[in-house]
Amino acid sequence: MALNKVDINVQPKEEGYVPKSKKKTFSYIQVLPVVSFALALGIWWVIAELELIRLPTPAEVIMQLYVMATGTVAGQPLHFHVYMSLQRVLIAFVIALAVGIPLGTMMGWNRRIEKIFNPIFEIFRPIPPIAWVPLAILWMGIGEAPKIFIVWVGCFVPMVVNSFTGMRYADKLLMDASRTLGATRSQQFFNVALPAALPSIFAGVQNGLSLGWMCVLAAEMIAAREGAGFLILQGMYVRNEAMIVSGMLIIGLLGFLIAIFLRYMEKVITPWRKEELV
Amino acid sequence: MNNVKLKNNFFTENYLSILSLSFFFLFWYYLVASGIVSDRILADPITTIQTFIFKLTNTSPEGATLFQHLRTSLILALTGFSLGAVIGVPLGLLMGWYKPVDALVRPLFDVLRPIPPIAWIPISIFWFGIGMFSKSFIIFVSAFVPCVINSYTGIRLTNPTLIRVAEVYGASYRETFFRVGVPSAVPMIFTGLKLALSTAWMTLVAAELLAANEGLGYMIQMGRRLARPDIIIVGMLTIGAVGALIASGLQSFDSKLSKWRS
Amino acid sequence: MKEIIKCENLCKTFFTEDGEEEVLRNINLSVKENEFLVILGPGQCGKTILLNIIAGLETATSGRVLLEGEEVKGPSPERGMVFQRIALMPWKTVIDNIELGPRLRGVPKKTRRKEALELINMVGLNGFEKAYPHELSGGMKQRVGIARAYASNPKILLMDEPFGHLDAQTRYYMEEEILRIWEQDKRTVIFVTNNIEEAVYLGDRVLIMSKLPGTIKDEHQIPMERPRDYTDQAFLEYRQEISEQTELAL
Repeated sequence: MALNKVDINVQPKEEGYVPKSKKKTFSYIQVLPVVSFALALGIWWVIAELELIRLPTPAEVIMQLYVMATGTVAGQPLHFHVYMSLQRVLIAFVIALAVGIPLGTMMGWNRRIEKIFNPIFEIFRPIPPIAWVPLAILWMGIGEAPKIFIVWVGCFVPMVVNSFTGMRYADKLLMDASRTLGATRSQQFFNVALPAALPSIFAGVQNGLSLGWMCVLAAEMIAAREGAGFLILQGMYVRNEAMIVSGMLIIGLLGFLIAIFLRYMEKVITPWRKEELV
Repeated sequence: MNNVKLKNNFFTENYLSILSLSFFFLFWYYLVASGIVSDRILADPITTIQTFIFKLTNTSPEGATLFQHLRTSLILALTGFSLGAVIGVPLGLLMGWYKPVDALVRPLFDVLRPIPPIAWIPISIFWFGIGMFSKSFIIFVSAFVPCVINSYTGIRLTNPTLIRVAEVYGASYRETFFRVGVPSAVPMIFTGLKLALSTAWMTLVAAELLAANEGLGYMIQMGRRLARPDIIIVGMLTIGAVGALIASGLQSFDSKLSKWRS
Repeated sequence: MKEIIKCENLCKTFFTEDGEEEVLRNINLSVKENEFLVILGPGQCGKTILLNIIAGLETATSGRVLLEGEEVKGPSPERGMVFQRIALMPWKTVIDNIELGPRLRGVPKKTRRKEALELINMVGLNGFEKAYPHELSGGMKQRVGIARAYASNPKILLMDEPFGHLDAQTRYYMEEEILRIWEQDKRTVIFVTNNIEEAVYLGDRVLIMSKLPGTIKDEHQIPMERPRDYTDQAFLEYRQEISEQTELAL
């Protein structure tokens, strides 16, 4: 939506107000992103050269990426680290899905179940998943288990909460309509409430996945020998700032790809939301 | 729906919750007291409460009382959050209103946005060490992004009819920004603030786990090193409780502010 | 004609923390089979609640509803309903929405698909079988709602201000449409509205409700032939008679 500067001396016409033509500003707006990108790159380079803070130059970052992509870090190739992070997230995510969505939807559907599980859940919910790290390590050592556990906690909570809200606040009108068509209670659950809650459930899945991604990084920074989080920590330890920045960019890219994937899945799973996504 | 509401007291309405909570605590107690779970990795509820009371005034074993840890963490979280909000909200609003600002800032922002705040920890430590400034910086980054995004979305969703009304009355673009755009973005700004706060609190814990010598994150890390699960649990519950309190505080402030809205 | 629905002394009161609210008081009415009955009342007079009670979606505080002599205990496909707000499942296509009732009752796919296609033809939505509700206009959505209610072969049709949210043009058109559909088998209809012209245009009989607490104030037979003419002398007389009796909700 283009908002144009208004000339206050112009009287609104009788037959509808016509804003000033936008043609003039069109081309300069187009150019700006390129300008700003170049500007940002330039500023980056200057800061790096001047060593105001120890920032690697863009060239150094690209070099570093190449080195990492073709060589190994801590004995493993780059794609192995990426693979490990993703694998941990995937496993935890699937388990959270399998436990969290049923729990959340049942709590939303049945008040008794809500009353049973809610107090316990409310005690654990405000605790950030990362705060579980020390306890998880104490319990499970420093293998894969504690990392998967932490990611699971991160994914689990939003899934439960959003499934719950989706169910609880499903449009009652649709429920009534199905009742007049003769739906039994369980038919209402599967045929009306669950689909109606699907957008909310999926929002929970999205939040869960992005939270889980953050958790895996934290867990890897604290206790791991491979993974994307380990990568940037390693860069810190060997005082290789290009490595840290490269690692950050890789992490950013992965997060971005995950987000795109989720947006695509949303269109697949809830295609009827077309008009509401505007 | 029809509600013939008889006067139910709290107990009859919530007996299931009370039962399940009691069962939960009893089970927890049983696990440790019976030795099924070693008391080196889990502390029973009673020990936890005792440790909590103890830590209110004692600095052992990790060097500070609970309050001191809490104070450190809170100061860090709030300064980082405030800075992030103070810079992020106006920036988001300006980006949403003025295309040149958006065009200028956006590419940089879009590159930085997918990088989770936690990923900033190593570079921050690398640049600034493990002091207060370093952690404040990380928390600033974590609060900054949601504030920008939500303020941006908030102002972009301004009702175009209101804007047209302002235009017809001769308001300049800038005046419309302050009188129409910003006020109607307030709900989304608050959503952003809430999100920023919880992200900030989370990031703080992570930062303190990695690089601190005081604060709640440090406390639970020490709890692990000293094999004191009771300290860990006290720390975790404090982190959770404080996070919840701040969030509800922000929520009630939001409700009061939005009383003038429908 | 035999009586198909009977409401005996229906009363409905809501109890909340703020106190009691009496919504319906001593509703007694009787509906004949194949009759097109209109319940006319101002906004906020409890007519939707009355319809919900007949449908079985809500329970009366006292009194009862009889369908062919048997007491109504809950919702059932025998009392089909068309809602005021669009109550179509947004994730299902038009034909899946119409098939929903039969599918829930276990009717085999071939049969229900055939019946659904017939209904789509009846309501004039040919070509839109695979469309989603959000792709349809308001009038079209309501036609799907009508087809869906018919799909369960109900004994009576309950319609709660189904054209209330449509624009005037569409509304006139839908009034004609509903009569065209109804004339095919003259299923019993209880139609709720707040629009006097609509009531006179559609109904064999019009019951007038008072404002809260709702009661049946009066009853008018409308023996005019269909299709009726809004500008006809007789139409205007009925309209005048009725409008003198309706109370405006304040």
